[in-house]
Amino acid sequence: MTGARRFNMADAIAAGLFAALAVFMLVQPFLGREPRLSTGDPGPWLLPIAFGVGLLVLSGALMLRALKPNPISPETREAVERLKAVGEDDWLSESMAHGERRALPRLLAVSALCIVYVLTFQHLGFYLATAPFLFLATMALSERTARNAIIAAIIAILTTAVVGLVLTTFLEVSLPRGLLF
Amino acid sequence: MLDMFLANVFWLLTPTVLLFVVLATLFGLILGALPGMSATMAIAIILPLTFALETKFGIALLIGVYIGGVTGGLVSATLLRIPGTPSSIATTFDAYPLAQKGFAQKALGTAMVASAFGGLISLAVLVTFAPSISAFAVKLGPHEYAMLSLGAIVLVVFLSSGDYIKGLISAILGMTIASVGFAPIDGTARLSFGVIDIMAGVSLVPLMVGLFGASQVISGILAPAEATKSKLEVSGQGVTLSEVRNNLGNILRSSAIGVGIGILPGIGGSASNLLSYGAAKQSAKDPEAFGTGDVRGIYASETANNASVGGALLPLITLGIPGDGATAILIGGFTIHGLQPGPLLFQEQPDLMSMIYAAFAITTIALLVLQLGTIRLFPKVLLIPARILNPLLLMLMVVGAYISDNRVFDVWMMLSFGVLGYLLERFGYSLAPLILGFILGPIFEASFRRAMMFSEGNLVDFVSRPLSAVLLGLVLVMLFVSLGGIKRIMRPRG
Repeated sequence: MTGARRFNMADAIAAGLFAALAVFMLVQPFLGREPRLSTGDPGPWLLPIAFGVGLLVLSGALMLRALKPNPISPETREAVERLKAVGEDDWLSESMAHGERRALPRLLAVSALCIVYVLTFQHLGFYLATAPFLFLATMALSERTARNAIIAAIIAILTTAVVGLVLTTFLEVSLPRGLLF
Repeated sequence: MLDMFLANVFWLLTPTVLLFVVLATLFGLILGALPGMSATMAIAIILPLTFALETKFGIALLIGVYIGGVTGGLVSATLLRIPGTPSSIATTFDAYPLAQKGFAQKALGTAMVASAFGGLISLAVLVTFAPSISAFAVKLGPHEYAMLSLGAIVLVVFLSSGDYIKGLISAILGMTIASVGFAPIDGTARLSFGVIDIMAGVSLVPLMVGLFGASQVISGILAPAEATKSKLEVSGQGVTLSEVRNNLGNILRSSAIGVGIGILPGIGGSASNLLSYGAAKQSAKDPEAFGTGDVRGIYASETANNASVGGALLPLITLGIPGDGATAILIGGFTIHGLQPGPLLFQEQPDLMSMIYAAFAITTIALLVLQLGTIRLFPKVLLIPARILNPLLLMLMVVGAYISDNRVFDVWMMLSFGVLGYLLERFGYSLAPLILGFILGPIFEASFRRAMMFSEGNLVDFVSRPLSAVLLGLVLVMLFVSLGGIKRIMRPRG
């Protein structure tokens, strides 16, 4: 690996976000009261302030590293390479990114189904919400063939029944009940 | 203590209890075996399901999942050369070549027997040393506790994170998440915007299930990895008694390394298997045999990673200090079940203490029987397609997050932490410091404030008390070394 390392966008964005969080934490103590229980008690805001300061310093360091990554001395170059190897490998991350982009629609579909599942969980009850979620989420991740649909349906119904039964009967958990179940 | 231990053993052997302990262990074993899943994820998913149970039942199940999860990694390491968990990296060196030579049964069997040896020896060490460490720990004051918890957090950053800046950021994020809601000691609502759901603070279950479970489902969907059937056929000769006899020294040495490393926060099983493999290779007369399918390598790796369990439980039980993600959830789970890990555990809850030992022993033995009994069948678990497994796990996570407090709010929290966990890992932020910060942050804060009140605001006490001074020194040295790394990178040109 020779030449300058590319500007690390991900680290720079992360540093910005962490710095914003740090500033937010540093502002908080001034918005509320500060009870001290006795002499010597540093009160409830000392640590959030310390965390805020620490985070600000670290995000500054992260930002500097992201903006000025070009190493000079051999040992510095080595240190950066080591950090880079731990963080990400360019070739690997690119090929991964390609695979990830292809799988993204599936992830979005499962996420949407999961959100609907959580929203309906309490109203429909565990059984009526879970079986369709499992079926649809499995189908969203599978090839859409009749065989897969039948397998997904059987697994969805069986798992819902077994999990529901084990949770309510043996583990004495109370699951949300809908209109029917 | 012995009578309580035996009573608990007999209770665990009652059919219904044993069935559930075995099922919990099996669940841990399956998630441990599947690459991408982990023992931590398994405990996080099972934890909320145990809430309604009797305390000792809940603890037994959690221990079962934990040990199952740590052990499960050996299957994919042996058959696919993919360590199911980092604890089994060194297992791939010899178990995989041995399996490839047609001795898959011997390779798997050796790994299973070694795991059981490691587990039981480390249990013996735990039982022997825990009382004396506890007796010592009772004498620790708030100053020492503050430094001890801070030291554990910094040590985890130091040992588990290749990138100190990101590791420290991760630890601070964890402590910040823990500081949301009512502050310890005085109950001031912090960082909660007056929202009642947030004022109660971030609960352990949504955080852990999200960070270690949902995030893995996201990466599992984005980068699915599936096994091929041909490699999962298990046949050939099994383990022989003479091999076990010849490896007794190796087993003892690897157990010692496993326990010793397991005690240190942050690295546990993932380092101990590599170290003891190295030690076994060095002490061998024919080191060149290692890596070609030598059972000695399998004994070294698998004994050490299971021995780390006993090592990791030592500071957890005696000091209330967890060393990694898995033990951090365990400690949270124990607390929710009413068991308060720490030096007073021996005096106040000896029954629950002995339950941990009993569950450890029974699980280890049950696991060996279960694994050897299903040695040809169990590897087929690796064939479960991700497209079926991921929705199932996601459903269990949603249900678990919901039933932990009967609030849909917790489910949203869990899903948000899932996204956060995925992004953090994707961009090189280790999750171990975050979770240690989350668990130890409040302990540090409460101890620090008590210490300050005790000393009437005098910081000198942190240096004048010997143990506190030593711990503070260690923290400073570790910080200096890690920040030195930062300085090197930022050194000006020329």
